[in-house]
Order: sequence, then structure tokens, then C-alpha cells
Amino acid sequence: MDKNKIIKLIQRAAISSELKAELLQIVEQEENLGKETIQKLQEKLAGKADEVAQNIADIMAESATDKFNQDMDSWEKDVNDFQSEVNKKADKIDLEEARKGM
Amino acid sequence: MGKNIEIRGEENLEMAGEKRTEMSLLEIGRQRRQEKMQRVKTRFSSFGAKIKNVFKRIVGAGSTSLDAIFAAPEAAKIAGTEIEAGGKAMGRGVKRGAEATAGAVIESGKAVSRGVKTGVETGAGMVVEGGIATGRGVKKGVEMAGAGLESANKWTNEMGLRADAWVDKKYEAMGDWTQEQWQKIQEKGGDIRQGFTDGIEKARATYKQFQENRAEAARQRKLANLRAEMNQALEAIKWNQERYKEAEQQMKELEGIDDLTEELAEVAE
Repeated sequence: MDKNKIIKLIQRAAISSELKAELLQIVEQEENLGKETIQKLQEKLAGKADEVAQNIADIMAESATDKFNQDMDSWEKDVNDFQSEVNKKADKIDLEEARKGM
Repeated sequence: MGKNIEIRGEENLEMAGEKRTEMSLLEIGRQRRQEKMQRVKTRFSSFGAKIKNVFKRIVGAGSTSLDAIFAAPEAAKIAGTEIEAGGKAMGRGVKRGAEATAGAVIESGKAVSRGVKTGVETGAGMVVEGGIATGRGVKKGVEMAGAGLESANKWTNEMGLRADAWVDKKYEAMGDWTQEQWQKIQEKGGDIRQGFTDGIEKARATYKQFQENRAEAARQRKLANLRAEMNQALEAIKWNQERYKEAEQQMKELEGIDDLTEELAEVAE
């Protein structure tokens, strides 16, 4: 198995430099490159893919959280407006008005 | 929903302990997100308490002045009843007084006629007539007083009814408005919460689906469908540029991992 070919594949892969370094370290540590090495690399990649996918799910959750916060702001404004309107109305309906109405 | 998030939080904490050295950057981001979500949850519950307080205040403010209004016709009614009772008592007193006077006058007329046994008939007759006239006058006075009281009572009752109707109308208008507004606010809160829950659920479902299909997908090169689905989900968060860029970068990383996995498989064959 061509060690250089594998190193080249890793180096030009569209992955983060941290992951590249981790993969290259695995390759460098192997004395005899074989199917087991490839399996080790693939396992590493599979674990990483899980992490990245969960990270994407987390980002989606974070986005939902941000949107929730934004919606809450407008909701809070609605409640405050409602509160002030009702208070105004309640103030209007007082005994003086009742007498005037009579 | 809340429970799900907490479960995820525990998973992440566990992972943070086990894989801190190799996943530090991802873990930091994940923990930051967990904290952010925790803050949002806290905000939602504290906001719920705030709304409760707001409503308590609204109800308090409303009922104080409404009570005052309701008290007004009630007071008028009580006053009317008292006037009526007083009028009746007075009428009875006047009537009794008039009857007594008439009786006394008649009695005295009789006594005079008895006393003056040999008196002139016309004299006795005049006294009797005088007694009857007095009685009539007193009776008339009592009737007039009674009619006056009756009309006063009518007026009081009329005012009471008008006040009742006015207050009912006002209260009804305010009640409808308050209910309508409150319902709107509740609906909005429900929508917001549902939207949040849906967003979280979608993220969880996407990840679960990825995990379930990853092994096979990597082998059979079928990640394209899943990727399309995830991209679709990402479109939904495009409004948030920062999050979108981060997610996009992670999607590229996932694709790079997928490509390299396949290339290595080819080398191994």
C-alpha cells in the first residue's frame, strides 16, 4: 500500500486541518500500512462525521433559540402594550364617570 | 421539550469529560449553545410569571373602579329603599295623625252637641261639618304626601336602573376587549413556544436520521439525499447569517469526510 498516496489523499481532502493532523498521525504511527490502517482512518472519520452532524443539529437548535428570543421580544412588547391599555381603560371607568353616565 | 433538552445536555457533559482533548472546539461551541438554550428556557418561565403578575395587576386595577361603579347604583337602591320605608312610615304617621285628629274633632263635635243638649241644631251641625271638612283636608294632605313620595321612589329606581345599564354596557365592552387581547397574547405565546419546540425537534430528528443512516450511507454513497434534507433545514435558518455560515462550513466538513472515506475505501480495494 502506497503511504504517500494515502498522505496525499488526506492532505488534499476538504476537511479541517485539525482532522488532517489527526489522520496523518495515525498514518505516521503505522509501521506496515494495510487494510487495518485504512479501517482505523475510516473509523476516525466516521466518529468525526457523527460529531460534525451533531454540531449541525446543535447549530439548528441554537438558531431556533435565537429566533425564540426574538419572538419573545415582540411578545413582551405586546403584553406591555396590553397592560398599559387595560390600565388606562380601568382608570377611565371610575366613580366620576359612573355619575356622569347617570 | 424541556426534558429532551436536558437529556441532550447530560450527553454533552458526558462527552465533554471523555473527549475534551480531541473535541475541545466543538465541545466549547456545544456547551455555549446549551447554556444559551438554558437561558432561553429560564426567560420563558420568568416571562410566564411576569405575564401572570401583569394580569393580576390588570384584574386588580379593573375591579377596584368597577366595584365603585357597581357600588353606586347599589347605594342608590339602598337609599331608595330607605326613602320608601321612611315615606311609608311617615305616610302611616300622617294618616294616623289625621285619623286621630278627625276622630278627636268628631268626638269633640259630638261632645259639644251632647254638652249643648238644648243647643241649636245648626250649631251642632256646623261643628260636625267643620269636623268632616278638617278630616277631608287632612286626608287630602296625606294623599298628596303619599303621591310625592311615590314619585320620589320612582325617580330613585329609574336612576338605579339607568346606572345599572350603563355600567353593564361599560363592563361588557371592557370585558370583551380584555378577553380578546388576552387571547391574542396567549395564542402568540403558544405559537412562539410551538415554533421553538418544532425547531429543536427538527434538529434532533435530523441528527438521529444521520446517525441511523451514516454507516450505510457512507458505504453506498447515499448521503446525497440526507445532505439535501439537511440543506433544506439550513435554508430555514438562513435569516441568521452567523449561524448559517457556521452550519454551512460544517456541512462542507461533512462532505469532505464523506469523500475521503470513499477514496480510502477505493485505495484499500
